[in-house]
Amino acid sequence: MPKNTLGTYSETDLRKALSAGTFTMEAGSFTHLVQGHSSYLIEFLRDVYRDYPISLYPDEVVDTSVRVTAPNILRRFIRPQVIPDPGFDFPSAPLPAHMAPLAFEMGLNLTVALKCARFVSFHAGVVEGPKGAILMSAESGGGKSTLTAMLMEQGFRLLSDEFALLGLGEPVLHSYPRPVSLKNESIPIIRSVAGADWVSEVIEDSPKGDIAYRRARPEDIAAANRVAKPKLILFPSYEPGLSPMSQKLDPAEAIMRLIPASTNYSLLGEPAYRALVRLARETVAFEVSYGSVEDSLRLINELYADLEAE
Amino acid sequence: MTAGPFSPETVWQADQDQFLAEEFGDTMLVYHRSSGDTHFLSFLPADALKSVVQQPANMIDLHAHLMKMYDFSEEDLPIQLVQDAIGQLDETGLICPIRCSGNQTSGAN
Repeated sequence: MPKNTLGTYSETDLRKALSAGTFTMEAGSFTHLVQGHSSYLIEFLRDVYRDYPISLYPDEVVDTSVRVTAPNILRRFIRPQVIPDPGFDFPSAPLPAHMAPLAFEMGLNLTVALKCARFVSFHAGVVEGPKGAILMSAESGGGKSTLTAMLMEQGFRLLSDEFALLGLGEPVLHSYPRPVSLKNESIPIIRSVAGADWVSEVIEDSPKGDIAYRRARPEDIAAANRVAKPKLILFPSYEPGLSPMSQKLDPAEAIMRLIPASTNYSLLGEPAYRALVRLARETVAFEVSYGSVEDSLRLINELYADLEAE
Repeated sequence: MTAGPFSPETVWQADQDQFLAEEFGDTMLVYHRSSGDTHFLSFLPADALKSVVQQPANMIDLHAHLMKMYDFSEEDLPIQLVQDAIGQLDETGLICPIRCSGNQTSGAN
């Protein structure tokens, strides 16, 4: 039976279920159990996750569990702080209470990065166009999220901003359409093209700078069970003023560059290697460097246009 | 992982069951089952590996075999390159001297 979206529930119902730890949310390949008392978290969920299917009375198995909680009882009331509790030991620095959304996003990322064994997972953005999917793997600051959000504006479907999920059988990418995490100067850029309603409030002065989230569109969420065929792998790097350049990579070299971006390659071992080889057989890979968003889009559109149609 | 210093007479071997290899043009991607490591090999170590899988060989015989295979002269393929390739393969554990075969087998099991 289709579930109702988060936006159809009242704040009171959501608060009660989140406090009780009975709130589950579907985001593509994963069902998350979420618990927390924070008003900031509830407000964030009602805004950024309003189109996601949820249940307030779970009756199914969930994939991961995340609790946004105070680091100790004192910090629940005096100069309140929060930490993400992904259900296993992981050191987390406490954040001010108003950064509960950040703690929540970090918690979800941790559970998927460290507890997902159904797919080979990579820290990468994935979008899909008519010729197949583009996988973008970049170092922090490489512009992956900005590119993901900009390609969404060009009509590409969002599969994920954080994780590329590669099937262990067929070389297909599974969807995990979470909000796109925007940082610093990319926030006004995406807000201007997507519209203010599609970008969350800015969380200022976080450990990663200013952060806002570009909401996934209802059609991205609705298509979350549809896999995508990967066609293009990009390793973008951004440096202000850099002239746009692309260089084709040997498939084996592309795999060697993807392995360090994987959160579970070592855990999965041989099946992950086989999956990556299948991925390399289906895709072409490029290193792309650029100094502006306009250059990056022009470069990527050219590379995408050169792909053979299915 | 290295077997230590080796001489030109050291005979090298590789166990096909110990790794998965996939060729992409002139390069090869190898997954080593014992270590769980993945290695990127250019054509020379890749061909050296394939060669010792088929037929264990010392460095001199391997050099001769590769020169014949590529139709290269000694000037085209100095033996130092083959020595370097052997050293790299030895370091990854993909090949080992004949004398260490017992250890490799027991390690795999």
